[in-house]
Amino acid sequence: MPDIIYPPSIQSNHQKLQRAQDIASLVLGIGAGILTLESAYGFSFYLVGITITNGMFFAVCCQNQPDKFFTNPIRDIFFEGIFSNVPGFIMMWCLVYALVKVNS
Amino acid sequence: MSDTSIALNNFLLLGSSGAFANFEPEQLLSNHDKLEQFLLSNGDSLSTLELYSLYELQFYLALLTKHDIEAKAMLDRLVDQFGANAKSQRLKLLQSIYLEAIGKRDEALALVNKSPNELKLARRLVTFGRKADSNDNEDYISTLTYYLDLQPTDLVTWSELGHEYSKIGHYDKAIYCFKEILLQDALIYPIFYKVGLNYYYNFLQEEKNLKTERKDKLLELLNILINSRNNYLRAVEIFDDYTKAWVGIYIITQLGSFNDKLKKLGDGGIKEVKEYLEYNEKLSKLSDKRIQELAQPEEYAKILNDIKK
Amino acid sequence: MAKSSTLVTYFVGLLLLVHSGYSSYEFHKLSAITHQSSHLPIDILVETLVGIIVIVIGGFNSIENSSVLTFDGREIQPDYKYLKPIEMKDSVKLIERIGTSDYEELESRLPFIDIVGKRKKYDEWVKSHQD
Repeated sequence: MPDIIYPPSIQSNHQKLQRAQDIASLVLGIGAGILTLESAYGFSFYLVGITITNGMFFAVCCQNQPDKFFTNPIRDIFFEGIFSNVPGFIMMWCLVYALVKVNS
Repeated sequence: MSDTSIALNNFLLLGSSGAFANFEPEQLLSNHDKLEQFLLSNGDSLSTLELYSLYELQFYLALLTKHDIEAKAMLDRLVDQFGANAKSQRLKLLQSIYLEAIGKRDEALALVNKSPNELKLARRLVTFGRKADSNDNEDYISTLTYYLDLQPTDLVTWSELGHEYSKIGHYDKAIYCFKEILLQDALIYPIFYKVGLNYYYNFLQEEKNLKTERKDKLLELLNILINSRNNYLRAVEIFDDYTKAWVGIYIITQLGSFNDKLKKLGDGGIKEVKEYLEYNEKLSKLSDKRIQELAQPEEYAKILNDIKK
Repeated sequence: MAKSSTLVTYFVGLLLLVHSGYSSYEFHKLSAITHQSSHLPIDILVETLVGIIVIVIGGFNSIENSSVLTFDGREIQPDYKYLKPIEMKDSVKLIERIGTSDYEELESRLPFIDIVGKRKKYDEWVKSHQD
């Protein structure tokens, strides 16, 4: 018999992952702005940063048993949230960049 | 998280599940006192939704512990917030329960009897068919079935009807009611347990009336028992730490005299009986092991008590 | 209501970021005045990275499961620190340990409560307790 899935848990886990990624992408945006990264450097900074965060989430929060918490762990954790969090990153990046580089 | 929010979550869960309806008086009183204290010290910092959910809970707790004045105060707060003339059925339900509790049964009846379109109130109206201080619940059952004719998807009413049937020993009908619930949601493991339990009661009832040791009669009984076992097993399949169902399985495997009779049949060469008995052996060991793992002795004794009742 | 440890971590992280941000601002202003363009000093870089890491750790801290109170007043910790297991048999364990279940309304049948009977039972309990 296949395992019976409990939807409220899936929802709660996705929310928590989303929260971690939200925070990470905003902070990465701030970081990219402070370091005054430009164009492709900024985006690669984001990609590396968010992947490290996801890796930490995978290792710390899933306690190395991701199957217990996600139906498709690799896709859910590493790929799903990347693009939806880009706008938040860009927003903070532009804002902080403008603040740091003002009148220079 | 802070202690306040832990306690808050506990109260909210208590209120939304309605678990307090089955609490013992002692538990009710302690919860009432705790919530009274909680509302005094944290009432200001709660959101409106939380606050009024807690008022509703405190209304019930106060009423159940005979703090009538406090219950009235809670009710008034709810009425003030949501309006006395509002068409809220939930509010009218509370008012009617309050009136019934303080002895104004007729007024309570009038309140719920206004419109048949208000389903929650119609459901409450059904409970007025209940007779106080007697086990005769025929009227109550017939009003319940009447309501279910109109509202066949109301799971809570099916559950109530099942419990009422079970009370007067109509176990087959009780099983039917519980199975209606399972038709709508096949994951409700407590109801699988209830079905198994009622099959077991049914078996006990039939066994008591058993005069002969004829083969077909015994096989009939065996079938009931197998049904009971399978429902218990389904319950532990969905939730494998469900102690009650494990105890139920264990009891079935320990039916001394009936199993002896079956053994005779099995030795007589009936295959399904033999299979049942072999399976029984395995389940007996397994359930014993699981109960040892899961339950403290007191808890085990309490469950046994509930089943024997 | 957020945990105080989370708030402290956020605060420290933001402080680091603000400080490094201001340093970076000054650095750029200076290079604009002196017309020398050079790379950002390494200590600003390090401070920013540390700030990012601290805040992300704070974010992880904020998604921890909180402990719950059972109906008989014991505080219990969930089996897993951060997430909830998605298998039904694992995830209903917690609410069962609290003393209820997702289907409690079928068990409690609150809309059908026999309020008069329950109050009588309470009266009897009080009486038996006084003796």
